Amino acid sequence: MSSSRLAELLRALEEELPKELSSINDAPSLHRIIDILDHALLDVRKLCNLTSVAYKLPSEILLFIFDLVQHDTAREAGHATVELSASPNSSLVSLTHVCHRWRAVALGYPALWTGILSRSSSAETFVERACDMPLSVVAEVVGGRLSKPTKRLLWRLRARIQCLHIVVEFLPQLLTFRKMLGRLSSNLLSLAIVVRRSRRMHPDRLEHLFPLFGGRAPCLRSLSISSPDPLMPTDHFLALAGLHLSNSDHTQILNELSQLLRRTPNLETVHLHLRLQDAVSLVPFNTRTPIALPRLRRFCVTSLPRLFYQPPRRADLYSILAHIVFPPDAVVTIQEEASYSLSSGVHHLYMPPVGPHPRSIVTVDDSGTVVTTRGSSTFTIAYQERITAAAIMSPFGLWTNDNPFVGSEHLLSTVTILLLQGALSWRWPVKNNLTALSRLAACMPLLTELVVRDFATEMLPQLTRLLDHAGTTTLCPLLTSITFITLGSAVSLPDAQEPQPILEILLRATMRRAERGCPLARFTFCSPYVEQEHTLHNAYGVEQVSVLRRDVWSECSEGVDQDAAAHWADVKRSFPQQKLGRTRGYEALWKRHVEGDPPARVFGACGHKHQWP
Amino acid sequence: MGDSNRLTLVASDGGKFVVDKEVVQMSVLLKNMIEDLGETDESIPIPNVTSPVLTKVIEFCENHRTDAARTDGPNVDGDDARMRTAVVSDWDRQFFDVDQDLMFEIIVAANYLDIKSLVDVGCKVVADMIKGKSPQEIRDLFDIVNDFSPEEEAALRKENEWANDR
Repeated sequence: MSSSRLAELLRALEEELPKELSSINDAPSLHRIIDILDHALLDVRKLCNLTSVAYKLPSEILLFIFDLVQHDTAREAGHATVELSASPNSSLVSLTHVCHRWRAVALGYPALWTGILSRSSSAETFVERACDMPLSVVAEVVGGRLSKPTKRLLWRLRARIQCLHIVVEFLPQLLTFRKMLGRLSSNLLSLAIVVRRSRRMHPDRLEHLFPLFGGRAPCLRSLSISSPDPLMPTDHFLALAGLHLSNSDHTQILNELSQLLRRTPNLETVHLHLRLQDAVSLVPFNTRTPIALPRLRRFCVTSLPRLFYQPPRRADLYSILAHIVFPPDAVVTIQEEASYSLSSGVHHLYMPPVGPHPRSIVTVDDSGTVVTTRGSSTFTIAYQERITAAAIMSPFGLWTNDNPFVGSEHLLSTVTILLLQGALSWRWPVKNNLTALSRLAACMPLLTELVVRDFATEMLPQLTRLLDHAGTTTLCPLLTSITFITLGSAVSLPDAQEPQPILEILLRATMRRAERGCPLARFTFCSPYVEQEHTLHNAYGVEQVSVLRRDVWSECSEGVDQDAAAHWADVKRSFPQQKLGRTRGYEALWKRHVEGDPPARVFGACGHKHQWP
Repeated sequence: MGDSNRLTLVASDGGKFVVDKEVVQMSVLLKNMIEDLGETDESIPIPNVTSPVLTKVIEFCENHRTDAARTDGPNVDGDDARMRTAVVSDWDRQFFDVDQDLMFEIIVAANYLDIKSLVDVGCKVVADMIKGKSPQEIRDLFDIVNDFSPEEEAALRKENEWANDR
């Protein structure tokens, strides 16, 4: 088809050009020739595009792609936890300037043009292109007041505005919008408020309580507030499904927060991103009656990084959680702040109210300690401290403790799966190192699966002690699967002249465990020094022994509870960017070991030497 | 009599693929066809899809066969939930690490066969490729030629100032 059109083009050119060429005697005739050639060239370009698969994509696919690009850009730009960091228009400008077809498809799709930046010169064009679609408007207070054109635009479009994103410098400037919000209360579906700066006043003097809508917003489905000074609307939100409060210390106003939750009976998702402040006197949480949220599906609390010392607020957060009646299948995730106050010992792991027969999964790696407890509802709590079997690694230092899980016995008794990574920079007394895992295992009678990932066999003595426990009872009698991932190769034993292969040491231990009547179903050994992967059946007291040359940590951690893992991954995406943990470091170390270039300097500096018992 | 749990798909170039019905049913089009046909040994022709593309489509469906059950729950997040749930896993990204023609053909085939998850993931991969790029970079990426006339380009330049508005 394109070849016939090309032939047609050339024929037309052959007809037109000779006529012009025969009468070249002035500049206008030369310009006419240039025009003819330009048009011909443009037509050839259009033909060229017919060979591009991307150009020819069906309109509905192109529109879906445009929607995704626009949605992602708008989400990055308009998330209420941050200021507008990128223009929501930028992606649309790019997409519509690629070629005729893409532009035509985009211009013919009003829904793409419904995001109006009230201060932009694009506003009127966007409103026109959006046809009669409901609008999403960004309104910003600049220089302390709302500009007149913005006011006029908002007033004119008020019947079409369904989503409103307000940006103000200070909290009191929000009062500028109260009249407008009152007018919008009957049709607004979504409201996002960003307050840029704190008034730095004492919390008692902050005006954090007032009705945004004059008392009632019956249609509002989503409310997102990011403010360094806490702001708690006192309206009734009967239809509100999503609540997102971020950037401020709402622990100051937990009672008000609980009142808000009572006025939002249809909430489905709650996100609290807290920025805990220093030296703030805490108002005790005094609610006694339960808060019923029968439609709640997700409740997420995250704490933003702090800079200074402050007492822990866990008790306050947990007190409000303990008052919420979570419906079956609700998923709760909590990412705690790094706590400084570890000198008095680690705060115990929180045992959530999940109903009868709870089961827990504990993952300890470079990103902290993550506990998922599942009963009728599911809790995932991420502690920033890396609570290992013998010590607590906080981002601020290392704390040793004879039993870092003291006070957490109830939760530990529900653990069925434990994934435990050693720490790159352990420096605590050797005696704790050697017995910690077996002491920990004694608190986990229901443990069925254990995954250990160590750096240089520092966890090996612990694991063999667990398997080979010489006491009268067998530790973790239900344990059926162990995975041991190590960057080490062989270890020197006191009674052997030559270093002993790690795998042999472990298999001797599994055999002794089987002799005691507790055989394993699966034992997986992973090391970059494995020359050839292989599987053994019914050997060394284990039904299946797998010897692998790859690190299966992520496979294990992803596979333990897919629903919870998927939700947790979703929650993590909404977190503010954190500093990179060492998990990537482990992967990089593994790669270097595989390539035969182990980073000896790292281990030398971190003192991984240990004594064999 | 063949295996009642499996059926044969015939690509546009005649290539035959014997696949589990459970896998095939990720395609709404094929699911409806199977329901209409009932128990049959007849092959199902897929006239718009070539063998290499069908191979990839089946590979995707086999890998995601258990996803449907997990995502069948009530959708209460509204219309844009589809966009938010279009999460691309490492496997998906590797799956789409093919030449561009094949990538787009897979998306078009998924659209024809009505396999939502494949369309979603494919479009997300393309959207990620586009995001943050200038029009010229997008043209270079997808082998598209600028077919705007100089006058049209002058008009478009006025829109460029919108790109930095907030």
